[in-house]
Formats: sequence, structure tokens, C-alpha cells
Amino acid sequence: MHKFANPARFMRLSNMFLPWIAGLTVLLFVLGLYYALVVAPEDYQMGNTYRIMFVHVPAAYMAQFGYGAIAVASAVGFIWKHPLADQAARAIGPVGAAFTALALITGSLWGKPMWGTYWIWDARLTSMLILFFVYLGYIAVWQTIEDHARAAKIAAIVAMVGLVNVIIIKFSVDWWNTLHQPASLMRLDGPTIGGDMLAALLLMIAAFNMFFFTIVIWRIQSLILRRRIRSLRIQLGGGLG
Amino acid sequence: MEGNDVFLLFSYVASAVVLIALFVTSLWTKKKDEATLRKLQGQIRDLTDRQGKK
Repeated sequence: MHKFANPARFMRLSNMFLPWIAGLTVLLFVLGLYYALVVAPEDYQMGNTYRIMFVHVPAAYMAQFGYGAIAVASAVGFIWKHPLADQAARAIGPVGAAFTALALITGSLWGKPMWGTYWIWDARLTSMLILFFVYLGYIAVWQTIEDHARAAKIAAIVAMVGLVNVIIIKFSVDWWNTLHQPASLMRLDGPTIGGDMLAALLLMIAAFNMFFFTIVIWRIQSLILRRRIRSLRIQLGGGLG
Repeated sequence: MEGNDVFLLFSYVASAVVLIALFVTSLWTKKKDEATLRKLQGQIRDLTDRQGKK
């Protein structure tokens, strides 16, 4: 694992795989949107408005997946001082925050026609809003602390503590009586939706996932480049010694 | 277009805006960093050449 954590090797491997991942992202989006907007039938109760879930559910899923990934990368960086782990966690922060914001926006747009309100202090909605603020706090740690090692340590602690909220999000619909519907996809007894609706949802989740990986790889590459830039500036500042 | 379809339209527009913004900012940042790195590497090469000639 450590041999893949070498920044130079990561740059080489990621540049090799990136065109494939980006191509797969485009293909999955085209297929997913086709299924979501054309193939999946109209819901007999909610009409076409239910199609909001094809962007809302993947965004909410990626928001939680992103935070889980930050927590894992932070733990690896914290315990084993893995060279790329901190960079990966840092790169995911803004991407995860954007997906959380998107989940909140599309959730509001779902709430108005379905529940009659854009917002309610329901356990699921509130815990998602808290996740957004945790993301902002995590990004702020990296932005405000100049010393990289110290920033990585504090950010890792924030990430691991914030993981509790992701567990609360997952089980909020079971623990409390919420307006938000219970899980319909990740259930022990299998998904409660099926056919083309399920296919559309799975394709859109896969598309969001691939998009997430494309963006995160670019952002990790950027962070690696910035470290090189910093060391070159130091060399230049010292007149090459 | 039915009354509620506007919420559907806004949710897809919002998604497109967020995803495109992420795509553009991440790619632009990477390209900018690559350009800065190339420029600095060029400066280092020039400096090394000058020091070699002295």
C-alpha cells in the first residue's frame, strides 16, 4: 500500500487511469439521465416530481461517502503517517461539502411539493445540515493552519469526531419519527423500489461516484503539485544554495 | 409543464450548476498549478545554467 502512496507514482498512475474514469463518468451520466428522465415510468402518486430523487439520493449518498472517505484517509494519515492520506482527505473536503449542499438544495426542492415546506427541523434534514457545517469546519482547519503537520493532525481529529454525525444521519430515520422517508435502497431486506426506477437510481449513483473520483484525483494532483511548487520556491529563494 | 415540474427542473439545474462548478474549478486549479510548476522548473534550469557558466 505504501508503495502506491508515493506522490510521483500516484501522479503517474492517476494520469494513466484518469481518462478512463472520466470517460466512464460521461457514459454513466448519459445512461443514468436517459433512464432517469426517459425510461423510468411516471409515479402514480407523485407524477414526474419523484424524479428529483435521481439527483437527490446520489448527492446525499456522496456527501456521506465523502465524509467516510475523509475519516478513513485521516485515520490512515494520523496512525501510519501515510504520505498521500492527508492530501486525499484534504482534497475530498470541498467536494464533499458541495455534494452536501446539493443534497440540501434538492431535498428542499423535493420537500416543497411533497411535504408542503422547503425546510423542517426533522432529524434527517438537521443532521445533514450539521454535516455541511462539519465539512466547512474541516475545510477551515486546512485553510487557517499554516503548518502542514499540525493542520493534518487537527483536521484528522475533526474528521474522526464528525464521523459520529454520519452514523446519526444513516439511522436518524429509524431512531426518530421523521418526515423524511426511511431508507429505500440500503436495507437488509433489499430495496423497496425496483425495475427501471432502481436501474436509473443505481446508474446515477455510479455516475456521481465516478465524477467524485475524477474530481478528487485532480484535487490530489493539485495538492501534490503545490508541494513541489513550494519546495521549488524555497530553492529559488535560496539561490539554489 | 405541470405545476410541480418546476421543482424537478430546478433540482436538475442546481445539480448541473454544482457539478459543472466543481469540474471547472478543479480542472482550472490543476492546470494553473501545472503552469506554475513548469515556470518554476524553467527558472531553476536557467539559474542552474547561469551558475554552471560562472
